[in-house]
Amino acid sequence: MAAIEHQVEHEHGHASPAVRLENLKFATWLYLASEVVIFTVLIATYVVFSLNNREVVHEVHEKSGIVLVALNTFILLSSSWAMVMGLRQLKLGNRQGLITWIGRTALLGTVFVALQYVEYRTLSDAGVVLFYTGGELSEFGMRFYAPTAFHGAHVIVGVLWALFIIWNARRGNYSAENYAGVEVFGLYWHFVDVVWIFLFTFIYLI
Amino acid sequence: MTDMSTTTQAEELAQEAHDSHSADHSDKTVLFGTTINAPVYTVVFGALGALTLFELLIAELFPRNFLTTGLLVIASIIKAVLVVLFYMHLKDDNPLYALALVVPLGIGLIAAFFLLAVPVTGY
Repeated sequence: MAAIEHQVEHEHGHASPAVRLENLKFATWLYLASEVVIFTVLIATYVVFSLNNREVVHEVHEKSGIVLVALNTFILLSSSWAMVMGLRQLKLGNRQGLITWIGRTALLGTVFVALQYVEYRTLSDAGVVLFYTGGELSEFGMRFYAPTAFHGAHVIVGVLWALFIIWNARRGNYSAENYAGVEVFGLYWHFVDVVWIFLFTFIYLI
Repeated sequence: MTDMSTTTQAEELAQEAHDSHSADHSDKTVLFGTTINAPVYTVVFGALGALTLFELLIAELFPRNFLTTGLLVIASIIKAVLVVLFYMHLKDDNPLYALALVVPLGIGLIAAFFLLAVPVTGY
């Protein structure tokens, strides 16, 4: 028994970066599966409401406008591009390049959240509120704010994670051979981007 | 024996990762036989931007109907697939990871169709 424990400890203690990366990626994909369930339910709930209340959705679309949301979409797509370019730089052995690109990711994520706040203020002034107050628009509010704000919370977490990646990179904890932490953060950030792609289409365009 | 097999597995994984990502490290991308002086990630970003513009034009210029809604949904699916394949590296990774997206999505869609079948009764 002691020999087996020693062997397991020995193997774990010497897990190569490649094996560690595969394990981390597998765990992250499982985590993302749980996120898919949550976001699918939130988006499906909105879609069902939207199909049954076309006039309300049309009214909100007219009040909110598409320019700000379209700009935010481009910002989030750009942040995803910056993320993957940072990982590319690290794999090429350029740690400073990683810091620069992930810094851009964090900045773009922050701008996204700030613009989402501006959008919420605009909608709130137009009567789209979170809780039911009797009007038709308030029925829309919960279905709209639940998925978009939950997504926004993920962006905030992602920005904090990006700053942690930068802090770690400055300490020299990543290299062309050891990039598991950056790759896992990339999976999370790109997933948040994929969710927004569907939110943009189903909530703002259709 | 165990140490040797673990080491071999690690070496294989490292080699696979190196081989699969080597194209991602290139500064050039070959698209439909044409060489573009940009990394594949930048080309994908361009495609994502173009598809988003396409969606905006469809949404702003044409009324909502079955065709325009279908086009918007298809464009968003293409964008998501591009991100998953290239940015999340699923084109090089274990295809089983795709199940993490497809299975819960399928369950969610079944739930959505069920919700659609329930008549609206108010609250």
